[in-house]
Amino acid sequence: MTANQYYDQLLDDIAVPIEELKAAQDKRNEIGAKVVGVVRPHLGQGVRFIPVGALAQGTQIGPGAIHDVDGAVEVPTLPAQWESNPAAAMRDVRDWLEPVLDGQYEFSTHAIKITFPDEEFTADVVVGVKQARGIKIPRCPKNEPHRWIATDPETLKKQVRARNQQFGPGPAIFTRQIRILKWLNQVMQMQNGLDRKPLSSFHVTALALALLQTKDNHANWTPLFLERASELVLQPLPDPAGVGDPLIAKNPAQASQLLAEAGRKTRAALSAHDAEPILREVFGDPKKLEQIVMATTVSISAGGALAGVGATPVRHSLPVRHHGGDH
Amino acid sequence: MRHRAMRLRRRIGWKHRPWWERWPHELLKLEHDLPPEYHHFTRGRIGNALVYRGDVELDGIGVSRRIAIVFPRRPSIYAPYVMTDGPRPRRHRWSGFRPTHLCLWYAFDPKAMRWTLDNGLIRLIDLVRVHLIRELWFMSTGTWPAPEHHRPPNRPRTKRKEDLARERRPCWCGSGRYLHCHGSGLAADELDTLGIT
Repeated sequence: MTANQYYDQLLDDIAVPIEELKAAQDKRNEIGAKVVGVVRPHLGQGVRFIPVGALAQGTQIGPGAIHDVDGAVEVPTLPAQWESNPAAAMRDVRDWLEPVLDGQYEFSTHAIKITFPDEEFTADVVVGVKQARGIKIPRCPKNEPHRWIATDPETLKKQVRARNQQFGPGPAIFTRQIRILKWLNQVMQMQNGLDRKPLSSFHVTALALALLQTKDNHANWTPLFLERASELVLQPLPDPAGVGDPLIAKNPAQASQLLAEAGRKTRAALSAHDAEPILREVFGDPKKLEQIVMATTVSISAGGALAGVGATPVRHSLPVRHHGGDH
Repeated sequence: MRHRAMRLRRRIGWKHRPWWERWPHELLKLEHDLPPEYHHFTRGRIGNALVYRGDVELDGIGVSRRIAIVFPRRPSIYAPYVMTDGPRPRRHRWSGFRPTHLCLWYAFDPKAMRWTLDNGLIRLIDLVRVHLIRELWFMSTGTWPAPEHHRPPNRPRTKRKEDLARERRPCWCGSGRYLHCHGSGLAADELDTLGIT
């Protein structure tokens, strides 16, 4: 199998099914309408909902169903009670939204996270105050002072789409490449047992915008990106929209090392007779992973392989359930 | 009188033997039909517990992890402790011991949905592999995709009761209380003893 064939197969394996995408988009639009409906009476008619994040950009990845949908509710002016207390913005919107949208509400650093009783994905709703460029959103980490930070997710979304169009008609090659890189980011976390991904999805997208400016195929783009990104992550990366703070990895040295190693292997796969074993070592096996993770019981074939495709199972794992939560 | 004393001495000695000597058929059942891919597992004794150590492959991710399966008492009645190297997420891990052990099944589910001795070590190791893969998936996506039983939260205990429970917790090796046994030394030494550094 050539490297390009492998990447095409990988994209199929990490694609989110169309019906799941449609359901997520519909739910996101429903959330947007409800958020606007409850916020406008308090903050005026200038309130609007902006779809942002992976689903809006077209860079969502599986395997399986989509994990979350993102949106920003943009308000025209900053109320006085929110100015010195950014967390109040999230609390107020949550209080207004809770009676009309059924779900479990939590707060993350930037967003209101909503878990629905009837959906597999969650929704992250960010409260943003309109600025000349972009929006200001609350940054409320635990045990740190809360403040407002500038960002522009709408421009980022437009930049990603524009880069696709720049590369001509046909498959959206740029967003497909970002999907490959986001999957690799996730695999690197799993393979190294890290608490968080080496880079945030925003950072991956920003690096892709900075590095992938001329059209090429996935087999060439991937090692090129990894090799150059391994150097770039050692320094702060300017926000592509030119609004927010520079992007810095949590552990730049570690991220650089992981990217460099992946770059070496993907580069070696270009000249290999059969690229599949090398690339599978880098990217894992998302199809098999989906079968192991999602299934109630997992088949085990002779030799001990879990969920072996095409192999006759000799036994199955036990259909257990765990008693939930943190112990 | 002398014979009674001899019989009493033999009975006391019997109670202090490890479970696999008192019930050898359970050990046979445990190791029955172990497939070649698990033959590399080594068996040893720590305290009063039988410990199996080995490496397992996490398919789909391409990494291997070292696990230690501890049977402090007869497996037909008491569940084993399974501890591993690598990251220690908070989901589905018991934190009674420093090397947190895996919460593999819901104890009150019917037998078909739990591991029992009849399933043997083979099905237990399979379960551990699947669990570890799901843990890594959870760490990267924030969702636990497998079935869960969400119990209501425990009634909060007073600090004194928490302290008493911690002091009285039996050690995983079955040789007394954890805080006076393997929990008294360094965490690194405990992991080293288990072979999962």
